[in-house]
Amino acid sequence: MSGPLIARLIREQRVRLPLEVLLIAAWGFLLVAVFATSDVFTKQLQAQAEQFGGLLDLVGLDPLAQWASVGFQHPIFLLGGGLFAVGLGVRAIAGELEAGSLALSLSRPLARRSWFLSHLVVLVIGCLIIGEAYALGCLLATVFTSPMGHLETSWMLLAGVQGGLLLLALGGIGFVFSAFSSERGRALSWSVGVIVILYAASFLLPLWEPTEQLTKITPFGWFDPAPLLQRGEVAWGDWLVLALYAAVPLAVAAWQFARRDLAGG
Amino acid sequence: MANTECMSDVAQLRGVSKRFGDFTALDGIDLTVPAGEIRGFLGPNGAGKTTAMRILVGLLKADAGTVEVLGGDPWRNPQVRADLGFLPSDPGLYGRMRGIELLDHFAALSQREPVLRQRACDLLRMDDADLARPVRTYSKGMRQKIGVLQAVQHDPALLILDEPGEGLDPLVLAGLVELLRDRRDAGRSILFSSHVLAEVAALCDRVTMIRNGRIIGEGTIAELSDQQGRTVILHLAVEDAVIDLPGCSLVDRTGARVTLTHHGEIRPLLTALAALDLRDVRIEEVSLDTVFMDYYRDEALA
Repeated sequence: MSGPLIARLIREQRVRLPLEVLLIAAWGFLLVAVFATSDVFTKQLQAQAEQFGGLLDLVGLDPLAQWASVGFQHPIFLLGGGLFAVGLGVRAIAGELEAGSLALSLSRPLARRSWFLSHLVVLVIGCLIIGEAYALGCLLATVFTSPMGHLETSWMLLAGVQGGLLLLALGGIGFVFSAFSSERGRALSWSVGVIVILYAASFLLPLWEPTEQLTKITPFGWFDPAPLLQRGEVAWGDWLVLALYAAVPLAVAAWQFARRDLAGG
Repeated sequence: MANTECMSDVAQLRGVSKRFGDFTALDGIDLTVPAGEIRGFLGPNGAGKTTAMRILVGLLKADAGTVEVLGGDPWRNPQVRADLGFLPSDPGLYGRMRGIELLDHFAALSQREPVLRQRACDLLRMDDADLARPVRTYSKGMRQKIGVLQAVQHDPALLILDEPGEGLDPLVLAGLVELLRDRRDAGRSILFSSHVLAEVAALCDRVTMIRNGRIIGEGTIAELSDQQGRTVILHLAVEDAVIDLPGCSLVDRTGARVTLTHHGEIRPLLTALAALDLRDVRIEEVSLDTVFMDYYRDEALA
Protein backbone atom coordinates (compact mmCIF):
# COMPACT_ATOMS: atom_id res chain seq x y z
CA MET A 1 0.00 0.00 0.00
CA SER A 2 1.07 3.57 -0.59
CA GLY A 3 0.55 6.21 2.09
CA PRO A 4 0.74 9.18 -0.30
CA LEU A 5 -1.73 7.51 -2.64
CA ILE A 6 -4.22 6.74 0.14
CA ALA A 7 -3.84 10.33 1.36
CA ARG A 8 -4.64 11.63 -2.13
CA LEU A 9 -7.65 9.35 -2.48
CA ILE A 10 -9.03 10.44 0.87
CA ARG A 11 -8.40 14.04 -0.07
CA GLU A 12 -10.28 13.56 -3.33
CA GLN A 13 -13.22 12.21 -1.35
CA ARG A 14 -13.24 15.03 1.18
CA VAL A 15 -16.35 16.60 -0.30
CA ARG A 16 -18.10 13.77 -2.11
CA LEU A 17 -17.95 11.10 0.58
CA PRO A 18 -19.24 13.34 3.43
CA LEU A 19 -22.10 14.42 1.18
CA GLU A 20 -22.98 10.83 0.40
CA VAL A 21 -22.70 9.90 4.07
CA LEU A 22 -25.00 12.80 4.98
CA LEU A 23 -27.46 11.73 2.29
CA ILE A 24 -27.55 8.16 3.55
CA ALA A 25 -27.78 9.24 7.21
CA ALA A 26 -30.60 11.61 6.29
CA TRP A 27 -32.30 8.76 4.47
CA GLY A 28 -32.18 6.58 7.60
CA PHE A 29 -33.37 9.44 9.78
CA LEU A 30 -36.20 10.32 7.40
CA LEU A 31 -37.37 6.73 7.13
CA VAL A 32 -37.73 6.32 10.89
CA ALA A 33 -39.19 9.82 11.26
CA VAL A 34 -41.82 9.04 8.64
CA PHE A 35 -42.57 5.79 10.43
CA ALA A 36 -42.97 7.63 13.72
CA THR A 37 -45.11 10.47 12.43
CA SER A 38 -47.34 8.66 9.98
CA ASP A 39 -50.87 8.74 11.37
CA VAL A 40 -51.95 5.68 9.46
CA PHE A 41 -49.01 3.66 10.59
CA THR A 42 -49.27 4.80 14.16
CA LYS A 43 -52.93 3.94 14.41
CA GLN A 44 -52.42 0.54 12.82
CA LEU A 45 -49.55 -0.23 15.09
CA GLN A 46 -51.34 0.99 18.16
CA ALA A 47 -54.26 -1.28 17.28
CA GLN A 48 -51.93 -4.21 16.64
CA ALA A 49 -50.12 -3.59 19.87
CA GLU A 50 -53.31 -3.46 21.84
CA GLN A 51 -54.65 -6.57 20.11
CA PHE A 52 -51.58 -8.70 20.48
CA GLY A 53 -50.03 -7.17 23.55
CA GLY A 54 -46.43 -8.25 23.74
CA LEU A 55 -46.89 -10.96 21.13
CA LEU A 56 -45.05 -9.03 18.42
CA ASP A 57 -42.00 -8.79 20.61
CA LEU A 58 -42.21 -12.48 21.44
CA VAL A 59 -42.02 -13.59 17.81
CA GLY A 60 -39.52 -10.89 16.97
CA LEU A 61 -41.59 -9.07 14.36
CA ASP A 62 -40.88 -5.52 15.33
CA PRO A 63 -42.38 -3.37 12.51
CA LEU A 64 -39.81 -0.64 13.04
CA ALA A 65 -36.96 -3.11 12.58
CA GLN A 66 -38.66 -4.44 9.45
CA TRP A 67 -39.09 -0.86 8.25
CA ALA A 68 -35.42 -0.09 8.86
CA SER A 69 -34.32 -3.24 7.01
CA VAL A 70 -36.33 -2.16 3.97
CA GLY A 71 -34.38 1.10 3.97
CA PHE A 72 -31.13 -0.85 3.65
CA GLN A 73 -32.40 -2.54 0.49
CA HIS A 74 -34.02 0.57 -0.94
CA PRO A 75 -32.64 2.04 -4.20
CA ILE A 76 -31.82 5.28 -2.36
CA PHE A 77 -29.35 3.47 -0.09
CA LEU A 78 -27.96 1.50 -3.01
CA LEU A 79 -27.70 4.59 -5.20
CA GLY A 80 -26.01 6.69 -2.51
CA GLY A 81 -23.56 3.96 -1.58
CA GLY A 82 -23.14 2.72 -5.14
CA LEU A 83 -22.15 6.20 -6.33
CA PHE A 84 -19.15 6.04 -4.06
CA ALA A 85 -18.23 2.39 -4.52
CA VAL A 86 -18.71 2.08 -8.27
CA GLY A 87 -17.37 5.60 -8.86
CA LEU A 88 -14.16 4.80 -7.01
CA GLY A 89 -13.72 1.50 -8.83
CA VAL A 90 -14.34 2.94 -12.27
CA ARG A 91 -11.97 5.85 -11.70
CA ALA A 92 -9.23 3.72 -10.12
CA ILE A 93 -8.01 2.22 -13.39
CA ALA A 94 -10.04 3.12 -16.49
CA GLY A 95 -10.67 6.68 -15.32
CA GLU A 96 -7.05 7.41 -14.46
CA LEU A 97 -5.83 5.64 -17.58
CA GLU A 98 -8.10 7.71 -19.78
CA ALA A 99 -7.13 10.91 -17.99
CA GLY A 100 -3.42 10.10 -18.37
CA SER A 101 -2.69 10.37 -14.66
CA LEU A 102 -2.13 6.63 -14.19
CA ALA A 103 0.97 6.77 -16.40
CA LEU A 104 2.46 9.50 -14.23
CA SER A 105 1.76 7.68 -10.98
CA LEU A 106 2.95 4.27 -12.16
CA SER A 107 6.17 5.71 -13.56
CA ARG A 108 7.13 5.94 -9.88
CA PRO A 109 8.42 3.07 -7.74
CA LEU A 110 4.82 2.11 -7.09
CA ALA A 111 3.78 -1.49 -7.76
CA ARG A 112 0.43 -2.01 -9.39
CA ARG A 113 -0.46 -4.22 -6.42
CA SER A 114 0.11 -1.24 -4.12
CA TRP A 115 -2.02 0.96 -6.35
CA PHE A 116 -4.84 -1.57 -6.22
CA LEU A 117 -4.58 -2.25 -2.48
CA SER A 118 -4.57 1.47 -1.69
CA HIS A 119 -7.81 1.93 -3.59
CA LEU A 120 -9.22 -1.17 -1.92
CA VAL A 121 -8.50 0.24 1.54
CA VAL A 122 -10.34 3.45 0.69
CA LEU A 123 -13.19 1.46 -0.83
CA VAL A 124 -13.62 -0.73 2.26
CA ILE A 125 -13.47 2.23 4.65
CA GLY A 126 -15.92 4.26 2.57
CA CYS A 127 -18.41 1.40 2.22
CA LEU A 128 -18.37 0.75 5.95
CA ILE A 129 -18.83 4.44 6.73
CA ILE A 130 -21.81 4.65 4.39
CA GLY A 131 -23.37 1.48 5.83
CA GLU A 132 -22.96 2.81 9.36
CA ALA A 133 -24.26 6.22 8.33
CA TYR A 134 -27.63 4.68 7.53
CA ALA A 135 -27.65 2.80 10.82
CA LEU A 136 -26.75 5.91 12.79
CA GLY A 137 -29.36 7.98 10.95
CA CYS A 138 -32.04 5.48 11.95
CA LEU A 139 -30.82 5.33 15.54
CA LEU A 140 -30.68 9.11 15.80
CA ALA A 141 -34.24 9.36 14.56
CA THR A 142 -35.44 6.95 17.25
CA VAL A 143 -34.05 9.38 19.85
CA PHE A 144 -35.77 12.44 18.38
CA THR A 145 -39.04 11.00 17.11
CA SER A 146 -39.79 8.19 19.60
CA PRO A 147 -41.33 5.75 17.13
CA MET A 148 -43.28 2.76 18.22
CA GLY A 149 -40.90 -0.20 18.31
CA HIS A 150 -37.26 -0.63 19.06
CA LEU A 151 -33.99 -0.67 17.18
CA GLU A 152 -31.18 -2.43 18.97
CA THR A 153 -28.03 -0.34 18.56
CA SER A 154 -25.57 -3.22 18.22
CA TRP A 155 -27.77 -5.00 15.70
CA MET A 156 -28.14 -1.82 13.66
CA LEU A 157 -24.39 -1.28 13.63
CA LEU A 158 -23.84 -4.90 12.58
CA ALA A 159 -26.41 -4.46 9.82
CA GLY A 160 -24.46 -1.37 8.76
CA VAL A 161 -21.40 -3.57 8.27
CA GLN A 162 -23.50 -5.98 6.23
CA GLY A 163 -24.76 -3.06 4.13
CA GLY A 164 -21.16 -1.99 3.64
CA LEU A 165 -20.36 -5.51 2.43
CA LEU A 166 -23.09 -5.25 -0.20
CA LEU A 167 -21.66 -1.89 -1.35
CA LEU A 168 -18.23 -3.51 -1.49
CA ALA A 169 -19.66 -6.14 -3.85
CA LEU A 170 -21.03 -3.35 -6.06
CA GLY A 171 -17.64 -1.63 -5.94
CA GLY A 172 -16.03 -4.91 -7.01
CA ILE A 173 -18.16 -4.86 -10.15
CA GLY A 174 -16.93 -1.32 -10.82
CA PHE A 175 -13.30 -2.41 -10.35
CA VAL A 176 -13.57 -5.41 -12.65
CA PHE A 177 -14.94 -3.40 -15.58
CA SER A 178 -12.42 -0.68 -14.85
CA ALA A 179 -9.56 -3.20 -15.04
CA PHE A 180 -10.68 -4.47 -18.44
CA SER A 181 -11.36 -1.07 -19.98
CA SER A 182 -9.39 2.01 -20.98
CA GLU A 183 -12.37 4.35 -20.95
CA ARG A 184 -14.16 5.55 -17.87
CA GLY A 185 -17.51 5.92 -19.62
CA ARG A 186 -17.43 2.39 -20.95
CA ALA A 187 -16.49 0.92 -17.56
CA LEU A 188 -19.20 2.95 -15.86
CA SER A 189 -21.85 1.94 -18.38
CA TRP A 190 -21.07 -1.75 -18.01
CA SER A 191 -20.93 -1.56 -14.22
CA VAL A 192 -24.21 0.31 -13.87
CA GLY A 193 -25.86 -1.92 -16.47
CA VAL A 194 -24.85 -5.12 -14.71
CA ILE A 195 -25.86 -3.80 -11.28
CA VAL A 196 -29.27 -2.63 -12.53
CA ILE A 197 -29.87 -6.02 -14.16
CA LEU A 198 -28.87 -7.85 -10.96
CA TYR A 199 -31.10 -5.58 -8.88
CA ALA A 200 -34.05 -6.01 -11.24
CA ALA A 201 -33.47 -9.77 -11.25
CA SER A 202 -33.55 -9.85 -7.46
CA PHE A 203 -37.08 -8.43 -7.65
CA LEU A 204 -38.44 -10.15 -10.73
CA LEU A 205 -37.07 -13.68 -10.34
CA PRO A 206 -38.98 -14.41 -7.08
CA LEU A 207 -42.25 -13.50 -8.80
CA TRP A 208 -42.24 -16.73 -10.80
CA GLU A 209 -41.87 -19.97 -8.94
CA PRO A 210 -39.44 -21.75 -11.32
CA THR A 211 -37.02 -18.80 -11.09
CA GLU A 212 -37.54 -18.03 -7.44
CA GLN A 213 -34.31 -19.64 -6.29
CA LEU A 214 -32.34 -17.91 -9.04
CA THR A 215 -32.51 -14.70 -7.04
CA LYS A 216 -29.54 -16.14 -5.20
CA ILE A 217 -27.36 -15.50 -8.23
CA THR A 218 -27.41 -11.81 -7.36
CA PRO A 219 -25.64 -10.29 -4.35
CA PHE A 220 -28.97 -8.69 -3.41
CA GLY A 221 -30.37 -12.19 -2.87
CA TRP A 222 -27.94 -12.65 0.00
CA PHE A 223 -28.64 -9.36 1.70
CA ASP A 224 -31.56 -9.38 4.08
CA PRO A 225 -30.86 -7.54 7.33
CA ALA A 226 -34.40 -8.10 8.67
CA PRO A 227 -33.63 -11.20 10.80
CA LEU A 228 -30.65 -9.40 12.29
CA LEU A 229 -32.57 -6.21 13.05
CA GLN A 230 -35.61 -8.04 14.42
CA ARG A 231 -34.10 -10.90 16.34
CA GLY A 232 -30.36 -10.37 16.32
CA GLU A 233 -29.84 -13.42 14.11
CA VAL A 234 -26.65 -13.20 12.11
CA ALA A 235 -26.82 -15.27 8.92
CA TRP A 236 -23.11 -15.93 8.64
CA GLY A 237 -23.60 -17.99 5.51
CA ASP A 238 -25.17 -15.02 3.77
CA TRP A 239 -22.33 -12.82 4.98
CA LEU A 240 -19.80 -15.27 3.60
CA VAL A 241 -21.47 -15.42 0.19
CA LEU A 242 -21.76 -11.64 0.12
CA ALA A 243 -18.06 -11.39 0.98
CA LEU A 244 -17.30 -13.76 -1.91
CA TYR A 245 -19.41 -11.57 -4.20
CA ALA A 246 -17.07 -8.74 -3.26
CA ALA A 247 -13.83 -10.74 -3.23
CA VAL A 248 -14.14 -12.56 -6.56
CA PRO A 249 -14.54 -9.51 -8.83
CA LEU A 250 -11.91 -7.65 -6.84
CA ALA A 251 -9.49 -10.55 -7.27
CA VAL A 252 -10.24 -10.73 -11.00
CA ALA A 253 -9.72 -6.97 -11.29
CA ALA A 254 -6.40 -7.16 -9.41
CA TRP A 255 -5.20 -10.01 -11.63
CA GLN A 256 -6.14 -8.23 -14.84
CA PHE A 257 -4.67 -4.90 -13.70
CA ALA A 258 -1.35 -6.53 -12.82
CA ARG A 259 -0.89 -8.01 -16.29
CA ARG A 260 -2.48 -5.49 -18.64
CA ASP A 261 -0.78 -2.92 -20.83
CA LEU A 262 -1.41 0.69 -19.93
CA ALA A 263 -1.39 2.15 -23.39
CA GLY A 264 -4.12 4.73 -23.09
CA GLY A 265 -3.99 8.25 -21.82
CA MET B 1 30.65 18.74 -21.80
CA ALA B 2 28.94 15.50 -21.05
CA ASN B 3 29.96 13.65 -17.97
CA THR B 4 31.96 10.68 -19.13
CA GLU B 5 32.88 9.20 -15.77
CA CYS B 6 30.44 6.39 -16.24
CA MET B 7 29.67 5.32 -19.76
CA SER B 8 27.50 2.31 -18.93
CA ASP B 9 24.02 2.23 -20.43
CA VAL B 10 21.25 3.29 -18.08
CA ALA B 11 18.51 2.05 -20.41
CA GLN B 12 18.52 -0.71 -22.99
CA LEU B 13 16.03 -2.29 -25.31
CA ARG B 14 17.35 -5.39 -27.07
CA GLY B 15 15.30 -6.95 -29.86
CA VAL B 16 12.11 -5.58 -28.37
CA SER B 17 8.86 -6.20 -30.19
CA LYS B 18 5.37 -5.10 -29.31
CA ARG B 19 2.10 -5.80 -31.07
CA PHE B 20 -1.36 -4.43 -30.44
CA GLY B 21 -3.64 -6.94 -32.11
CA ASP B 22 -2.65 -7.03 -35.78
CA PHE B 23 -0.63 -3.83 -35.54
CA THR B 24 3.11 -4.15 -35.00
CA ALA B 25 4.16 -1.13 -32.97
CA LEU B 26 7.76 -2.24 -32.44
CA ASP B 27 9.59 -4.81 -34.52
CA GLY B 28 12.73 -6.02 -32.76
CA ILE B 29 14.26 -2.66 -31.94
CA ASP B 30 17.54 -2.01 -30.15
CA LEU B 31 17.88 1.22 -28.26
CA THR B 32 20.41 2.29 -25.66
CA VAL B 33 20.73 5.40 -23.55
CA PRO B 34 24.26 5.74 -22.12
CA ALA B 35 24.88 7.52 -18.84
CA GLY B 36 25.41 11.26 -19.17
CA GLU B 37 23.93 11.54 -22.64
CA ILE B 38 20.96 13.27 -24.20
CA ARG B 39 19.45 10.94 -26.74
CA GLY B 40 16.94 12.29 -29.23
CA PHE B 41 14.25 9.92 -30.40
CA LEU B 42 12.78 10.93 -33.71
CA GLY B 43 10.06 9.57 -35.90
CA PRO B 44 6.78 10.47 -37.51
CA ASN B 45 3.49 9.99 -35.70
CA GLY B 46 2.76 6.33 -35.03
CA ALA B 47 6.38 5.27 -35.62
CA GLY B 48 6.66 3.60 -32.19
CA LYS B 49 8.37 6.27 -30.06
CA THR B 50 5.69 6.42 -27.38
CA THR B 51 5.39 2.63 -27.25
CA ALA B 52 9.16 2.28 -26.74
CA MET B 53 9.12 4.93 -24.02
CA ARG B 54 6.21 3.29 -22.23
CA ILE B 55 8.01 -0.04 -22.31
CA LEU B 56 11.06 1.62 -20.75
CA VAL B 57 8.87 3.02 -17.98
CA GLY B 58 7.13 -0.33 -17.36
CA LEU B 59 3.66 0.71 -18.47
CA LEU B 60 3.71 -1.75 -21.37
CA LYS B 61 5.11 -5.27 -21.44
CA ALA B 62 7.35 -6.18 -24.35
CA ASP B 63 6.16 -9.21 -26.33
CA ALA B 64 9.76 -10.18 -27.11
CA GLY B 65 13.26 -8.98 -26.32
CA THR B 66 14.88 -7.71 -23.16
CA VAL B 67 14.35 -4.45 -21.32
CA GLU B 68 16.76 -3.10 -18.76
CA VAL B 69 16.43 0.26 -17.07
CA LEU B 70 18.78 1.34 -14.29
CA GLY B 71 19.84 -2.25 -13.75
CA GLY B 72 16.43 -3.89 -13.68
CA ASP B 73 13.31 -4.74 -15.62
CA PRO B 74 10.82 -1.91 -15.04
CA TRP B 75 7.87 -4.23 -15.71
CA ARG B 76 8.85 -6.71 -13.01
CA ASN B 77 10.67 -4.46 -10.58
CA PRO B 78 8.95 -1.14 -9.83
CA GLN B 79 11.80 -0.05 -7.55
CA VAL B 80 14.03 0.71 -10.55
CA ARG B 81 11.62 3.56 -11.29
CA ALA B 82 12.70 5.38 -8.13
CA ASP B 83 15.49 7.00 -10.11
CA LEU B 84 13.45 7.69 -13.21
CA GLY B 85 11.49 10.74 -14.33
CA PHE B 86 8.80 10.42 -16.99
CA LEU B 87 6.78 12.91 -18.94
CA PRO B 88 4.18 11.36 -21.27
CA SER B 89 3.13 13.17 -24.42
CA ASP B 90 -0.18 14.22 -22.89
CA PRO B 91 0.28 14.17 -19.12
CA GLY B 92 -2.87 13.76 -17.07
CA LEU B 93 -2.72 15.92 -13.97
CA TYR B 94 -5.03 15.98 -10.98
CA GLY B 95 -6.90 19.19 -11.75
CA ARG B 96 -8.29 19.81 -8.28
CA MET B 97 -4.85 19.85 -6.70
CA ARG B 98 -2.86 23.05 -6.50
CA GLY B 99 0.40 22.97 -8.42
CA ILE B 100 2.50 22.68 -5.29
CA GLU B 101 0.34 19.86 -3.93
CA LEU B 102 0.70 17.99 -7.19
CA LEU B 103 4.48 18.28 -7.08
CA ASP B 104 4.58 17.21 -3.43
CA HIS B 105 2.38 14.22 -4.23
CA PHE B 106 4.56 12.98 -7.06
CA ALA B 107 7.72 13.61 -5.03
CA ALA B 108 6.25 11.47 -2.25
CA LEU B 109 5.39 8.71 -4.72
CA SER B 110 8.95 8.88 -6.05
CA GLN B 111 10.27 8.45 -2.50
CA ARG B 112 12.82 11.19 -3.25
CA GLU B 113 13.30 14.73 -2.06
CA PRO B 114 12.47 17.32 -4.73
CA VAL B 115 16.01 18.68 -4.66
CA LEU B 116 15.83 20.20 -8.11
CA ARG B 117 12.39 21.78 -7.86
CA GLN B 118 13.44 25.35 -7.18
CA ARG B 119 16.03 25.49 -9.93
CA ALA B 120 13.65 23.89 -12.42
CA CYS B 121 10.90 26.34 -11.41
CA ASP B 122 13.28 29.23 -12.00
CA LEU B 123 14.34 27.99 -15.42
CA LEU B 124 10.79 27.22 -16.49
CA ARG B 125 9.49 30.53 -15.10
CA MET B 126 7.09 28.99 -12.65
CA ASP B 127 6.65 31.11 -9.53
CA ASP B 128 4.95 30.53 -6.18
CA ALA B 129 1.76 32.22 -7.32
CA ASP B 130 1.51 29.81 -10.23
CA LEU B 131 2.08 26.84 -7.95
CA ALA B 132 -0.60 28.06 -5.54
CA ARG B 133 -3.29 27.82 -8.21
CA PRO B 134 -5.39 24.71 -8.91
CA VAL B 135 -3.98 22.79 -11.85
CA ARG B 136 -7.35 22.88 -13.63
CA THR B 137 -6.90 26.65 -14.11
CA TYR B 138 -3.59 26.18 -15.95
CA SER B 139 -3.12 26.90 -19.63
CA LYS B 140 -1.70 24.19 -21.91
CA GLY B 141 1.80 25.65 -21.55
CA MET B 142 1.51 25.79 -17.76
CA ARG B 143 0.34 22.18 -17.66
CA GLN B 144 3.32 21.19 -19.76
CA LYS B 145 5.65 23.07 -17.42
CA ILE B 146 4.33 21.35 -14.33
CA GLY B 147 4.51 18.07 -16.23
CA VAL B 148 8.22 18.67 -16.78
CA LEU B 149 8.63 19.75 -13.15
CA GLN B 150 7.13 16.56 -11.74
CA ALA B 151 9.50 14.55 -13.91
CA VAL B 152 12.72 16.40 -13.04
CA GLN B 153 12.17 17.68 -9.49
CA HIS B 154 13.73 14.65 -7.77
CA ASP B 155 16.80 14.80 -10.05
CA PRO B 156 16.44 11.28 -11.49
CA ALA B 157 19.31 9.42 -13.13
CA LEU B 158 17.19 8.85 -16.23
CA LEU B 159 14.66 11.23 -17.73
CA ILE B 160 12.25 9.97 -20.37
CA LEU B 161 10.45 12.89 -21.93
CA ASP B 162 7.88 12.53 -24.69
CA GLU B 163 7.74 15.86 -26.51
CA PRO B 164 8.66 18.03 -23.54
CA GLY B 165 8.73 21.25 -25.57
CA GLU B 166 5.12 20.90 -26.68
CA GLY B 167 3.17 24.11 -26.01
CA LEU B 168 6.08 25.99 -24.42
CA ASP B 169 6.90 29.54 -25.49
CA PRO B 170 10.46 30.25 -26.75
CA LEU B 171 11.63 31.72 -23.44
CA VAL B 172 10.50 28.72 -21.44
CA LEU B 173 11.83 26.41 -24.14
CA ALA B 174 15.26 28.02 -23.73
CA GLY B 175 14.97 27.39 -20.00
CA LEU B 176 14.07 23.77 -20.65
CA VAL B 177 17.08 23.33 -22.94
CA GLU B 178 19.33 24.84 -20.25
CA LEU B 179 17.79 22.57 -17.61
CA LEU B 180 18.33 19.44 -19.68
CA ARG B 181 21.90 20.40 -20.58
CA ASP B 182 22.53 21.10 -16.94
CA ARG B 183 21.27 17.64 -16.01
CA ARG B 184 23.34 16.02 -18.75
CA ASP B 185 26.43 17.82 -17.44
CA ALA B 186 25.62 16.48 -13.97
CA GLY B 187 25.80 12.95 -15.38
CA ARG B 188 22.09 12.31 -15.83
CA SER B 189 20.74 10.63 -18.94
CA ILE B 190 17.86 11.88 -21.03
CA LEU B 191 15.81 10.23 -23.72
CA PHE B 192 13.44 12.58 -25.39
CA SER B 193 11.29 12.79 -28.44
CA SER B 194 10.36 15.95 -30.22
CA HIS B 195 8.91 17.15 -33.47
CA VAL B 196 10.91 20.38 -33.20
CA LEU B 197 14.08 19.39 -35.02
CA ALA B 198 15.92 22.57 -34.12
CA GLU B 199 15.40 21.64 -30.47
CA VAL B 200 16.79 18.18 -31.10
CA ALA B 201 19.76 19.54 -33.06
CA ALA B 202 20.56 22.03 -30.31
CA LEU B 203 20.31 19.56 -27.47
CA CYS B 204 21.08 16.00 -28.44
CA ASP B 205 24.37 14.18 -28.27
CA ARG B 206 22.98 11.41 -30.42
CA VAL B 207 19.78 10.75 -32.30
CA THR B 208 17.87 7.54 -32.91
CA MET B 209 15.37 7.47 -35.75
CA ILE B 210 12.45 5.09 -35.87
CA ARG B 211 9.93 4.32 -38.58
CA ASN B 212 7.18 1.71 -38.66
CA GLY B 213 8.47 0.19 -35.45
CA ARG B 214 12.04 -0.23 -36.71
CA ILE B 215 15.18 1.74 -35.98
CA ILE B 216 16.33 3.20 -39.29
CA GLY B 217 19.19 5.41 -38.19
CA GLU B 218 21.33 6.19 -35.20
CA GLY B 219 24.31 8.41 -34.51
CA THR B 220 25.40 11.93 -33.82
CA ILE B 221 23.76 14.56 -35.95
CA ALA B 222 27.09 15.03 -37.75
CA GLU B 223 27.24 11.31 -38.52
CA LEU B 224 23.70 11.26 -39.78
CA SER B 225 24.39 14.34 -41.86
CA ASP B 226 27.50 12.70 -43.29
CA GLN B 227 25.42 9.71 -44.33
CA GLN B 228 23.22 12.09 -46.26
CA GLY B 229 26.21 13.95 -47.72
CA ARG B 230 26.87 17.66 -48.28
CA THR B 231 25.13 19.86 -50.76
CA VAL B 232 27.51 21.59 -53.20
CA ILE B 233 26.12 24.43 -55.31
CA LEU B 234 28.29 25.77 -58.12
CA HIS B 235 27.84 28.82 -60.34
CA LEU B 236 30.01 28.11 -63.38
CA ALA B 237 31.77 30.78 -65.35
CA VAL B 238 31.12 28.68 -68.47
CA GLU B 239 27.68 27.09 -68.70
CA ASP B 240 28.63 23.88 -70.52
CA ALA B 241 31.82 23.16 -68.59
CA VAL B 242 32.41 19.51 -67.82
CA ILE B 243 32.08 18.75 -64.12
CA ASP B 244 33.76 15.70 -62.64
CA LEU B 245 34.35 16.15 -58.93
CA PRO B 246 35.50 13.39 -56.49
CA GLY B 247 32.70 11.96 -54.30
CA CYS B 248 30.00 14.04 -56.01
CA SER B 249 26.80 13.06 -57.75
CA LEU B 250 24.65 15.39 -59.78
CA VAL B 251 21.35 16.48 -58.36
CA ASP B 252 20.39 19.30 -60.69
CA ARG B 253 21.89 21.39 -63.49
CA THR B 254 20.13 24.54 -64.67
CA GLY B 255 22.20 26.72 -66.89
CA ALA B 256 25.35 27.71 -65.04
CA ARG B 257 23.93 26.58 -61.70
CA VAL B 258 24.88 23.03 -60.71
CA THR B 259 23.70 21.27 -57.56
CA LEU B 260 25.63 18.21 -56.38
CA THR B 261 25.65 15.89 -53.38
CA HIS B 262 29.05 15.07 -51.91
CA HIS B 263 30.05 12.15 -49.69
CA GLY B 264 33.43 11.51 -48.14
CA GLU B 265 36.53 13.57 -47.45
CA ILE B 266 36.25 17.27 -48.13
CA ARG B 267 39.92 17.94 -49.01
CA PRO B 268 39.99 16.23 -52.46
CA LEU B 269 36.80 18.09 -53.33
CA LEU B 270 38.29 21.45 -52.40
CA THR B 271 41.38 20.68 -54.47
CA ALA B 272 39.23 19.81 -57.49
CA LEU B 273 37.05 22.89 -57.05
CA ALA B 274 40.13 25.09 -57.00
CA ALA B 275 40.92 23.91 -60.52
CA LEU B 276 37.47 24.88 -61.88
CA ASP B 277 36.49 28.23 -63.39
CA LEU B 278 33.74 29.27 -60.96
CA ARG B 279 31.83 32.47 -60.29
CA ASP B 280 30.61 31.18 -56.91
CA VAL B 281 30.55 28.05 -54.79
CA ARG B 282 28.54 27.07 -51.69
CA ILE B 283 29.06 23.93 -49.61
CA GLU B 284 26.30 23.27 -47.08
CA GLU B 285 26.14 20.69 -44.35
CA VAL B 286 22.85 18.87 -44.49
CA SER B 287 20.49 20.12 -41.78
CA LEU B 288 18.68 17.76 -39.44
CA ASP B 289 15.48 18.73 -41.22
CA THR B 290 16.92 17.41 -44.47
CA VAL B 291 18.20 14.26 -42.78
CA PHE B 292 14.81 13.72 -41.22
CA MET B 293 12.97 14.30 -44.46
CA ASP B 294 15.31 11.99 -46.36
CA TYR B 295 14.84 9.21 -43.83
CA TYR B 296 11.09 9.57 -43.91
CA ARG B 297 10.67 10.46 -47.58
CA ASP B 298 9.20 7.10 -48.47
CA GLU B 299 6.62 7.47 -45.77
CA ALA B 300 5.81 11.04 -46.78
CA LEU B 301 5.29 9.90 -50.38
CA ALA B 302 3.16 7.00 -49.18
